[in-house]
Amino acid sequence: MLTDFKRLLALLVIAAGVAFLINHLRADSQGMAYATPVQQMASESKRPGLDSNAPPVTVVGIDRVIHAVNKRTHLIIDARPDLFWEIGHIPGAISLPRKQFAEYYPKTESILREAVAMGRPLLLYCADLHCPDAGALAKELNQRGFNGVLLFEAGWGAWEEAGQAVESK
Amino acid sequence: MSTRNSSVRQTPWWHWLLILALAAVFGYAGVIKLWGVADFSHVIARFDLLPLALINPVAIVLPMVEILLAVALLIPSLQRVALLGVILCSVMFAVVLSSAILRGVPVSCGCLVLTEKPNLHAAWWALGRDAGLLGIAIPLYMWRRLGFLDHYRE
Repeated sequence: MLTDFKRLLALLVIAAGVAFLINHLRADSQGMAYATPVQQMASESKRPGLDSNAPPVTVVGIDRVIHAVNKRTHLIIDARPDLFWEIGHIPGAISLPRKQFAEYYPKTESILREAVAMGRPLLLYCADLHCPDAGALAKELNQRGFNGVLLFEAGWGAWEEAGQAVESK
Repeated sequence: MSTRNSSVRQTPWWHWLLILALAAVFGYAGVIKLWGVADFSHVIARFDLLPLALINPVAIVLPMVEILLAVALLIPSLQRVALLGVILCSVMFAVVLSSAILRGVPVSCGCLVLTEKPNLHAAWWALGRDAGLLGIAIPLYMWRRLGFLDHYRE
């Protein structure tokens, strides 16, 4: 049995060596430090070739979102699939699912432009810290001229956990 | 050498069928994770078990471990070690999935699909699959250890 463990350990060392070598050689090699989807998106938006004039996405906490809901200072956008929005969303939030962007954007574009024109910046959220939808949606909107987008990174999970008011369809 | 070849012929067909099934599952799981390391790192992060500094190294190494175990399963002289590796990996996955279920953390298993919507139902399914893998790997390993399939015993 001990022999098996020793040989397995050797196999694991070989696997680790090969894995790091392959990762080093890959064009899209993964760094050693983990970045959340939003952090990745923010760093990508600073790469040359993308909209370098756009301000980076501003990540906001729950206090800012509560204030935005109470004072209606922002247009809140739910980036999760529409079914989740129907079940429950932050009060006043409209649904613009990232995965159904092509279908929903034409329907909501006028609302977004009107809000921005009225001085209500867009505030995006999705499921939680590890959900990539809000970050990706911010990027899509950024490319369509919506700058200064705010991102509630902790998302729906944190909102529910904080026991805040919930609205459903 | 001729004895060894004859041993290969004597190995029951169902043994190879089960080995091939394990190798296919681990090989496929390893390749899709290797293909989408970035997505896999988010899957690991969602479990909220590892410190941030370990998430990417694990996301980089684990797929290669799975691929090498799949390859080793197909090499008779390495099969016993590979089976032990499969058992330890499956136990580790089971512990991680159980922890997520107990804490009520919705996760996607990240086992065979990286884009699965995180939910507890998926974690239960993954735990069931894991039990299936253990149900195959443990008897095969024990049979080898006890000498029922000792053609390649060291």
